[in-house]
Amino acid sequence: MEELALCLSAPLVSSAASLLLSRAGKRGVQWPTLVGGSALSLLASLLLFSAVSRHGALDAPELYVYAEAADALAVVAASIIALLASIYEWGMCVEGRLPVGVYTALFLSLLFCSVYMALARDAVLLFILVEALIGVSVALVVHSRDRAAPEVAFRYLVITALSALSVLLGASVVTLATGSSDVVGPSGGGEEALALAAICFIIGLGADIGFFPFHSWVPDAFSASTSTVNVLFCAEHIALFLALYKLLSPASHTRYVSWLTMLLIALGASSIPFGYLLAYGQREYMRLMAYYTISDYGYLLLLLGVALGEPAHLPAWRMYLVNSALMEAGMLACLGIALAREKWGGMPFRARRMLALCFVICALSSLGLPPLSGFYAKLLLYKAVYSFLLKRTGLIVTVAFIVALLSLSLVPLASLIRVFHDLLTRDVEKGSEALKTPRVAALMVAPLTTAGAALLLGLQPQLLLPG
Amino acid sequence: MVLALVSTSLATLISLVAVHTLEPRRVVLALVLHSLTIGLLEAYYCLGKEAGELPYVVLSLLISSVVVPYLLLRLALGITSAEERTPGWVTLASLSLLCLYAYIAVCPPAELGKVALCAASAAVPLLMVASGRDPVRVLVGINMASNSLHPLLSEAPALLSLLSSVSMLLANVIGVLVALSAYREYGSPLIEGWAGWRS
Repeated sequence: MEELALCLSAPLVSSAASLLLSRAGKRGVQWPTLVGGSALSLLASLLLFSAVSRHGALDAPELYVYAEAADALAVVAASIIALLASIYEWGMCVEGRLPVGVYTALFLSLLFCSVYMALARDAVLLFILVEALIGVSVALVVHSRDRAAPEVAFRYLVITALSALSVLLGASVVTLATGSSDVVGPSGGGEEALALAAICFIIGLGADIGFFPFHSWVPDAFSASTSTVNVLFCAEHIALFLALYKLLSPASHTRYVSWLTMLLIALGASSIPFGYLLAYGQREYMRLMAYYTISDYGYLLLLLGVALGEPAHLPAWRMYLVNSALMEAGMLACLGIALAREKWGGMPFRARRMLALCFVICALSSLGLPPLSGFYAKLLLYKAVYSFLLKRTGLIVTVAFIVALLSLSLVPLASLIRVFHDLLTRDVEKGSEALKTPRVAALMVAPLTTAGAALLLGLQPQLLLPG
Repeated sequence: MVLALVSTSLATLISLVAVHTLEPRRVVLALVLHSLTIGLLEAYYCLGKEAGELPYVVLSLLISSVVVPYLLLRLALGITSAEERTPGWVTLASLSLLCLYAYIAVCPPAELGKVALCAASAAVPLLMVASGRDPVRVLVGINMASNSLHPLLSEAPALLSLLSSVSMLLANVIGVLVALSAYREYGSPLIEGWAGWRS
């Protein structure tokens, strides 16, 4: 119980402290507050993980939260990404539209909402957190100095606010049908109502996450946001996918589970080629990453559908979720540095070589090449999909589906190798817009850590499979 | 039940009027009336619950009917927007939704009748979002739709209802800030004008 409260209070208190310090006019302490608050959150999440590993699941009904080892691991991953993003931000030395204190508070609030969402067990609370997360995310998008940022942020706000209404509708239906908004415990009530609620959740959270066909805001938001915010959003996606899983759980005990499973598999299977094929044509790094991310959401949806039908595959889904978020954070950090190099007047060859190496490790891990962490995540994914489809569709369809998935993986390989070549060989002239000199060592922490994690977790994949 | 029906129907009519109101400040006034109608219904529901829950509901009512409209009024005053006629399709769609609402009110579905009624009521202000070129109208539309769905949370603890209003307030604060930034950046009060800078 104390560990849960500490885990929730660490980012919230740091966020409030940042606002208070900002009001007191202490500008110099904002960066230590940002990095310190994120580090404190990571420490609290590690304590939670340790407690859950020792005592089993922790429950705090007063706070509407419940944590198993896998939830705690997701919180640790989100906190690691936030810490890496905060160090990266410190290294970038970029000022945005928002005052530093407000930006720091919003950054830590996003972490708070993500952590709470990963642990929450109440449908209404999840809706509230989704709404709060939207507000914070939109504000972080508009922080960018990019001219497109306000327009993109407003579009993002409208789409995600409407999606929150869908989540509210779903939460209300669950509450009215079952008499309780608890989504972790056993649920009774009208099966049709729970299936209707599940559709509302898929539409609502689908637009928040941005998988196909609710993706319209994603490429523009990636392109207009700062690279730090893009890295931080990887932590948000862990929380949003966990929320989606929890909200769909009540419907997974109804007779409509097979329909739900097929819907998720269909959405996932269409997201993958859509994202990969559109990513191939992109010349702008962040747009390429946006479409690549949409296809990765496709894999997550596919596996979520399988895991809802056969809960034995849930650990594979969680492993894929954490690994893909970490690898995407690493790739986005590398590309953010590459984009900013023009404003710094180029980069030395050694730094470029290191950056390209980190990028290619994260990219290959994300694509599932051995001996990197993504290999095990993809292997478990293919095993789960194969065994699930084999029972329902027969050998030929299953093999054809798996071969199609494997073939599609070649498409992003081509785009990502092109980016790697670009990072390694192409230097740039100094642009008209100059930035402050970056703290290179701090900037390299995120790419090096994620590339190191890909190698380490490739050797010890069981670290991502707690329990 | 009769009170809930009367209150939801009144809120639906107010949102219908808001959809056809041209002047942004009057649209914000419609939001105040809409929030009060829904908020008072929630307060009435709360009287049957524990006494400790009433302060949460009152605070929630204050946020949705005073603080949020005040923010949006500031935005309306900050952005000088031209008044435009409501498109014909919006009038047609709003009248169709009103008919649907009336049908659901008269013949409610056996299961989840309350949900169907609130969803039909929430669909009317969403037309402001679909047709809105003015950020004030878009934000008012989202708030009205959210308010219309709020009675569905009457079974949930009042604290969660208050937290929901607080998170909606946060979304509004951010919405107003973003709209003002966009107005300053692109110099246009209309959302279409914001995208126009690319060309």
